[in-house]
Amino acid sequence: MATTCTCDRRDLLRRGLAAGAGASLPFLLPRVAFAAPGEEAGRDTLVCVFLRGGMDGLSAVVPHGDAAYHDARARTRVRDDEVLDIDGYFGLHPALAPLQPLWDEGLVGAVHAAGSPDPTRSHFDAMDYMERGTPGDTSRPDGWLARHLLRSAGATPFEAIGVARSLPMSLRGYAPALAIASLEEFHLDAPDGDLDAVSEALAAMYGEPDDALSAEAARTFATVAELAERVPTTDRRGAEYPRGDLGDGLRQVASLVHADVGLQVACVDMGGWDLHESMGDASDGRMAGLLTELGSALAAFAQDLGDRLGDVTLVTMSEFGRRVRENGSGGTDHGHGNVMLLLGGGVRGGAVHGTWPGLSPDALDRGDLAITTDYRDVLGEVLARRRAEDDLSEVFPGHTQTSVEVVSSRVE
Amino acid sequence: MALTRRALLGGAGAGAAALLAYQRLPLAPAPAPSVAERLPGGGQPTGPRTDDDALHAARRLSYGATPSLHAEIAALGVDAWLDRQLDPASIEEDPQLLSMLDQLDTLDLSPTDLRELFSDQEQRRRIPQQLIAATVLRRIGSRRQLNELMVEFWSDHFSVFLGDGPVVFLKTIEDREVIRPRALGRFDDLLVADAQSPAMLVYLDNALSKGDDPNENYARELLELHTVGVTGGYDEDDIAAVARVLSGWSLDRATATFAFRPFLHADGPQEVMDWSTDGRGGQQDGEDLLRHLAHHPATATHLARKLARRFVSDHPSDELVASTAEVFLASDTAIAPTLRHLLTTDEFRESSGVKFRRPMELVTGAFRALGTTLPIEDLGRGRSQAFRQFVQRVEALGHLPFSWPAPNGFPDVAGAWLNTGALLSRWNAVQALVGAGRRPLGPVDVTDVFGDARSAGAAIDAAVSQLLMTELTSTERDAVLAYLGVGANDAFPADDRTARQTIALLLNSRHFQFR
Repeated sequence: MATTCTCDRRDLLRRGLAAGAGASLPFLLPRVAFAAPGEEAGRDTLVCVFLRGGMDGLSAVVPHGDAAYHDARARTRVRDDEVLDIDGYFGLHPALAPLQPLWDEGLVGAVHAAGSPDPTRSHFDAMDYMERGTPGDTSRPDGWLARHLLRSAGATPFEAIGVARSLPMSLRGYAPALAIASLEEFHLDAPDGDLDAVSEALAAMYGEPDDALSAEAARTFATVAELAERVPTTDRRGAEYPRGDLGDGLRQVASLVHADVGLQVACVDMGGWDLHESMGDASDGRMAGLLTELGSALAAFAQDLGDRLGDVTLVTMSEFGRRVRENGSGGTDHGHGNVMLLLGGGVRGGAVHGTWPGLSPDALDRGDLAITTDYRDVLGEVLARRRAEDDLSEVFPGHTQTSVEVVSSRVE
Repeated sequence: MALTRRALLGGAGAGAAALLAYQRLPLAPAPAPSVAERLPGGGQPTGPRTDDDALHAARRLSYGATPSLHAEIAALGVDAWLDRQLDPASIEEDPQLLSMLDQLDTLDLSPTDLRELFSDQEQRRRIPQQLIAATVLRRIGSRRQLNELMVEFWSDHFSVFLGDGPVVFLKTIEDREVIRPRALGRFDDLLVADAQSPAMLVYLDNALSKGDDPNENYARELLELHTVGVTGGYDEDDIAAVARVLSGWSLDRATATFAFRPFLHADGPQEVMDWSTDGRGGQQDGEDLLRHLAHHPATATHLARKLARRFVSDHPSDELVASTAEVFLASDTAIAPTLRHLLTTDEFRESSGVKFRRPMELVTGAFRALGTTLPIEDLGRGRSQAFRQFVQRVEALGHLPFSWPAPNGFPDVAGAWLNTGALLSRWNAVQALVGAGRRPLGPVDVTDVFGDARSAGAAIDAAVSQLLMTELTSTERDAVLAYLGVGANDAFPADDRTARQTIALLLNSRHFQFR
């Protein structure tokens, strides 16, 4: 059983906010507790990468053995002589070459024809449903990760973080979840001699009334204090992250993993996938550029984590895939089924999981790749096997779990 | 051959980074905020309430209340002031604002001149810089505050992302020729003009759509975002039909203006929900469809809800939405009477203190409260240090105009803007703005704020009535005195640094977070 130190506001003061301040500061409404390093070893850190805009799974994990793919994607396809073949039927886009060693080692795997069963092709509805974990239903106010965390609360300051300017829907409803775009810049800007006095004044001014604004202010001060105490690591173990939101986000997640602050769940976004035009071909263009960024960011993250990759599971998702047939402007419109990528020590990698429905006209869903694996089956399996979730019906209400066998159970 | 933007406009599909050079525009569409979301900590945050209708109007219907605006509304009466604001041409514009705008030489360039400037790698950044600067200057300084609020409302409703290739220069044309002239006009005219706006045609790809192989991007967002809304009763077949009806709505490459291309247009009968055509009308079919959609009851409800969310509360009543939608339809989609109805309801009058400011509203509010404005020296040459710092700050707040990377526009509910990181960014933006931090962004005359008060208590009270137009709680007042390290009756330590930090503390108080 984990022993935790419950720290009161005075402890936090000593931890860096305003040393020496004697006044009773009303800003620490939630009592926060810190797990000592290693105490949360019973669960993986889950990293959710949301590829916003509708990522084209057929370009990422290519069904190059299917003639229908080549017919539908005359201008934008990955040719047989370009693809990084996996099993004679599927292959990785050449821009995902940075993932090839991890794939070969069995640390990266895929689930194809996965997604949310709701038929919407709207970005905004599809993202909303997916992050709530209740496709077609917005009656629950919280996200799937929030519901999971409420049941596995560890009460550490960096338990759940969205590396973003706004908290992702999947974490909404879990009060301790943080939205922080940059750990390095997370401090109050005030002249050196004034910092403590300004901090104290602001904290006092936000002490009342008891509403959402005061609660966020309290969390902000607690987080600033904690970060001042535990400076994130700068040793990257040779990893070179690509520029962009995904690389920046994963770099910070790796810092928190190494800092042993009790990180349970992190959400990172990568946008730009809504390629209605000019996707380009396998070697040049916007799709190749995005996949290069994705592949090199995941590879850098694995490198940076080193041995800690055994305690981390990363999973990618996107609101929908793209239509099988490319449109007249060299792009693809909104589709349905998609691929999910997984990275981590517990991933049954080196394989494409799921049931492939094929691309023949009668196998398609309104012209789009059909969904044969509910994305909740993938996420649920990760929660159950890697994060000790014992009641998925609380996380995904109304959904009956089917096993995908894409991760193995954690062995202590 | 595939139609591409490159072929259409000649310019490279340059990314935002190349255009704005110094800033990183957000490339990941953040999730849309949901109506039913629960705020962390529980409950809607609440700001200062007031029974003073003039003060409420000054806060809610401007980019920041000031004592002089409050006095103006009180003298005229809220209803008369509102009528004037709804007729912006009747209000003489601030001469200082006009002379500043005169210094921004790209605002009035013709489409062809803008295109030429866009092709100059060194100079092109001046276009988005000046558009953003002009937008911020107008929000701070315009006497037509409600008009500016509606320009912003439509810029969000018809959101285009400035970082998307040629949109960066086409947006200047759209702002000037589509949005501004119609911000308080008729929605059906605005919808047709926007559908023909080169920025929108490029951003949502309709310029590339071919009748025999349509691009559905614009068609989908037209229904989902611009008109009937996602629950408006359409299906995937309707989207495909809209795309065919509007195929051929494209651009003239040489002039960067709208052009209908018959050879790209799909003829033949089409059905879109309860509208149909025999398909012989060409461009006219598209205009008919757009006007039909503009007058659709679902569009009226969708727009009424957005307007009510903008001006009244995050969760307006169904009754308010319904009555506003009714006025919208009865007035042939005219925006001014719709707004007049919305803003004279009891629900509006009783809504003081409930709208959490979006970041730019906080920033413009600070400029206005301090009686200063955005420094634009040297902006004509594209190298203003102060402007650059301003953009970095606002970018960190995630609210740089025209920089929302998805077609649904910046979110408009507190839950999307209130979180741990965002709150710290707001405090830091004000610290920087007032010059309490390392880099002052604008000139601030601290003597204006504190008047000639001698005691610390009187100085604080003077600043509070000037900046916040409310009263501090005793806890807040004590906290400021504790910062100053003096009692209320002691002398105010009026050195520049302390004075600026005192101002920053007040602007960072919870009172200033609401409008």
